[in-house]
Amino acid sequence: MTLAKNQLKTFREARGLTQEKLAARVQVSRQTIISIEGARYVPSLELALRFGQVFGCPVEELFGIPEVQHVREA
Amino acid sequence: MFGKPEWFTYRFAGWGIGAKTWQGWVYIAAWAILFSATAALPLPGPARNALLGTLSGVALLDVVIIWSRLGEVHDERQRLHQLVIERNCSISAVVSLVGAMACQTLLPGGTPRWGLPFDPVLLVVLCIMALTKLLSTLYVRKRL
Repeated sequence: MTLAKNQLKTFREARGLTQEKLAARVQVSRQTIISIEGARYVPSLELALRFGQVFGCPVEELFGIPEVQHVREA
Repeated sequence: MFGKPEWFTYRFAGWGIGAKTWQGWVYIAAWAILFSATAALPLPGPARNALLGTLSGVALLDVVIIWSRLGEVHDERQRLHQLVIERNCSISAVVSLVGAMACQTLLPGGTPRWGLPFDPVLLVVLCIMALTKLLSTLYVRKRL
């Protein structure tokens, strides 16, 4: 399964936040931030919404799924 | 509850909980001192045993409460890790127990006792579960 892509690192760096500070803001461990940024872990809806709240943007701007390749029937 | 879940974490290998903060270490040391002091009290054997038994019950209850509330102080990824680890342990336990049952059925006279006062299969199953837990912990920390 392809994991959802995210812009977490870009948003975090743009706001000058360290992984530790962001982790404290959304109440998770720093390791969890590292895993999400490395696309090894997909956060729950609740956590994704908390990220959206911290960055003041819709969740869709932070997380997205890779576009589905539509296979044309011959 | 004397201890707080925030002071502890899931153990890397083996079962139970381990200290995460200095308060956790103080908590463990306090129980150790309490047990040692009780054992050294100049009391008759039965009274001392009753006291040690009561202390053990209180300590065990406290640890079980802390353990059951550990999920509250871990985030969703850490809880997922723990679920994956415990699931793998359960699978390995079932597989090894089924294997042991097959061995005991097929081997004439069952599995050897090796002079132990209990069935060594239980020890083997526990070792397999402990190994599964260690490997699963290493895997989830590296990959998830």
